[in-house]
Amino acid sequence: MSEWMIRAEDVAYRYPFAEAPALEGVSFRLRRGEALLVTGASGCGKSTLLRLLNGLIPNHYKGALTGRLTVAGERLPVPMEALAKRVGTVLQNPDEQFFATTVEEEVALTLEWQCRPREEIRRRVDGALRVLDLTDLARRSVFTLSSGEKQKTTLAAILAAEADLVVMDEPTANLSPEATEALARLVLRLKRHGVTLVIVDHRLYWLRGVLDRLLVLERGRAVFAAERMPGGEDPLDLLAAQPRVAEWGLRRVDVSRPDLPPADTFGAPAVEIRSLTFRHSKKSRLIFDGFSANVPRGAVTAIVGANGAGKTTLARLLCGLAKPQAGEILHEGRALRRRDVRAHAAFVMQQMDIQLFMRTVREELLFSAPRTVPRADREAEADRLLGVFGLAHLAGRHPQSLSGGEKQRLVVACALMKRPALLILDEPTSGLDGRNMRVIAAQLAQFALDGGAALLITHDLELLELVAQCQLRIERNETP
Amino acid sequence: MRALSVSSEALDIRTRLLISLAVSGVSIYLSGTGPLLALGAATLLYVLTSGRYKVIAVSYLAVCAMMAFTVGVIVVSFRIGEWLVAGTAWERSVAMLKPAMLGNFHTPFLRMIPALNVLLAIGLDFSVQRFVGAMKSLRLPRVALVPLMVFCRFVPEFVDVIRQLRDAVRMRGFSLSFGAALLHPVQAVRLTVVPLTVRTLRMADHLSVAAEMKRVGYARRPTQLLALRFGKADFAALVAAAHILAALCAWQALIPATPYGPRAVQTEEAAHE
Amino acid sequence: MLKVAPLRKGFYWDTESLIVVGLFTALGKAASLLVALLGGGMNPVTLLLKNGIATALLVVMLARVRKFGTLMLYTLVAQVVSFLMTGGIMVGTLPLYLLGALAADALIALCGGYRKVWAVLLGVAVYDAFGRVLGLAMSFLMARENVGMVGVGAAIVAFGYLGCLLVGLPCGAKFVRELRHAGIIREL
Repeated sequence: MSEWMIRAEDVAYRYPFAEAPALEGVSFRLRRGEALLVTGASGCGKSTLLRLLNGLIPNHYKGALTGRLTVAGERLPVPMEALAKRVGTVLQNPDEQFFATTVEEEVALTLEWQCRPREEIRRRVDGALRVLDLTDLARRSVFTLSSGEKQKTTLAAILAAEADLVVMDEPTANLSPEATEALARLVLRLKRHGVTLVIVDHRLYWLRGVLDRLLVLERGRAVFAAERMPGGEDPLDLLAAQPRVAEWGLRRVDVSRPDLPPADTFGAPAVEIRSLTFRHSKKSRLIFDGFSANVPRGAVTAIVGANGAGKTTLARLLCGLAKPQAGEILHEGRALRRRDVRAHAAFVMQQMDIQLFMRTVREELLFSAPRTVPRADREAEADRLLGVFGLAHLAGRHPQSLSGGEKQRLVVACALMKRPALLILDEPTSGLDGRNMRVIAAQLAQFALDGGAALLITHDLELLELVAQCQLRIERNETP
Repeated sequence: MRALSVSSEALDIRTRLLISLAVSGVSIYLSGTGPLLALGAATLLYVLTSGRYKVIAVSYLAVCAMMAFTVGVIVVSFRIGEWLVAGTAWERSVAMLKPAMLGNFHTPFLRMIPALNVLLAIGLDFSVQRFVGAMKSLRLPRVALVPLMVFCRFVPEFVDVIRQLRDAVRMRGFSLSFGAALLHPVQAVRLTVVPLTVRTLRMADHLSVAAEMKRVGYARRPTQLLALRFGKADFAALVAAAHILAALCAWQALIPATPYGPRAVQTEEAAHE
Repeated sequence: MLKVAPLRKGFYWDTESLIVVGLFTALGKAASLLVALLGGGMNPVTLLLKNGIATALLVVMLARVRKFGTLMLYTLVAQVVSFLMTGGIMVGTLPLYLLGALAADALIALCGGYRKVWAVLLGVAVYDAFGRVLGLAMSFLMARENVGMVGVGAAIVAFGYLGCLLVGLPCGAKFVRELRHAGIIREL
């Protein structure tokens, strides 16, 4: 058996009807039990590389491939059946790769469809659950799992299928900083079990001490490669020393959780929350029990708290989308009707597809402006925002045909189009490269500078470091 | 070794489905007040074993209200019709319709009760897990199994997506209310259908990629790790149900000349004359 | 240069089509819940809207899957789902429903196939009408003793069909063109 899990020599690939190749002249090698990070700005070709490694190209996507690519001893292309037994994939959003409704069934799924005997499936599923400490969650419904637990479930399914190469697409995009740290420990554990890992991610900091190799792509070409030598430097340090890191559109290598002052004492309040009590229904848990806080004007405030503490619920209450059972929320010192609150607040939600309704990008922006603003003013503001967010060349495109980064910029632009006094953003930069993240951060900072009150719910430490000025902490309410 | 099957204290969902199917079929055959009342009572006892008295009471009230509303609509519209044709050549024809329109509201109502009871028996016991269990135990081929798996997995997901969509629309200054639907029906359809279909088609893309990698749907019939088990209680319930239904059918058969509503009323009227 | 094309095993129903049908069935069920949020399905406006949305979704699904028998498969899945969720005798009428779906599928195929928007619209209109007639037949069996009740049922069914014809089909056609233009549904 060769020591190399992957050997790529001068690999090039072009999608059908594409003008430029998605990958060109890419060469690298990876030993068994090693971890490789592939990074680069959006559209650099890293997802294409991942699709080649897990066999989706050419089994699911057509195109033209040149060069020599060997994965797990198989010279590509090979039929999916041959590769599926060796390679497991973790997609960015585990929700979109689950078919079963409990952890155990999801882990067993691949084996069931391989028509293995029941006893063998049971043995392998139990083994995989044990390795990932999921035995207690075996019968849990997947609907109740946290993002970290969902990812572990996916990994357990891969281990149960006895794959020895794991490819991960943006694994930290939806994870909290704590879950991200746990994932780093898990990657180290998998390496000790002899599993080889290829990780595609924009976030870099969490892989310090985990990586063996690193590859940076730009417009389909490898522009930087590094590997850990015995006793040598971490590949991430070698990357950080490169002068062109920002130019490649990457995120920062070193990120830490900023130490922010409390929002209550930060400045004059735009929103005052007084003795708020809220639960979703009579039978559900009490989420807020006499909660009070202030949101300052002219600042970006981070909402901080554990999973399930009620961060998104607070955002919905502040926007007038939910009604508290007791207590009051004052906007600029006044208790407004919920309809009026919605008119003067803007809320950027996590899920982008459901926030875009119109036929073109420009129409979408115009649709977002209050109908009371004269048409000419609306058009001028739309054009200004198209320019600021780098969307001017896409004005006539269908909003749903944009890339992830473009959509995210458009949704934030639509929120600003309302000229809100209060702007709330829920994970506005998950899955974004450094360049896109910085565009959104800059606009957020400008909004606060112009006197607006911005509230930010995010696991993105780099975004917090860049723009957050104070924090509003929510503790999980444990009273039933 | 851990159990390879899911057993539960309650009845197997397949038993409930079979009983429900049989009850619905028999209730259509029955038309006598006595047999229908007996079937209603038997199925009410069956659903009362769930112990969810409040939900059952509310459902009964809802059905009664719906029934009262329907009867009200029929009576009012018939009276309006009578008033409109009064003194015209149509008066006699409308009068002939009277027994068919206003007579015998109780038989359809009585027939609805057993159907409501068995529906409640399944609905009150419903969970995604049970649904999946029932589906797997039916040993369906991949053509039905894959869409049904996807269905079970994504209904809760879509309910969530729809809630978020409602928020997104409201934040844009629109509401998906009765009034908005009345004033801008096309706008209302656009604001719901476009984002939902795009989201669905995108999910379909991601899921089919995942299916290809996990080999889901690439065999004719997969192994089922967890399968349901038929218990003694199921057997007993099925035997009891079969006996009761057979007895009711016999009772119906003994009632002379199963009368259809209009004819029955007419015959009664003829007897009076 | 090596030209690579998908290396797929031949099931007539590829997994992708099965997934799309499953998702649209789930969306349909969830959307009826949305309409319940709008104030129940019993007032004329939401009744119209409910049927309009369901029809528009069906048109989009057919434009995406584009395979002979899609309506049959959809019917099978939707009927099994409603049987598993509510029990009931609807499963007894399954063969009739499948027959109606087959007729609509055949009509689409005869009119030039699933790529032609108008052929899909025609097929959906026929499919919907067939389903409604069957539903009406069921309500006749349930309430045969009182003509008035059957009449109320018929009025509701007819009004729902108006929602399909006046709201669902035009919106469905419009959205299919738009989604094709946006590249979300393949052109050919």
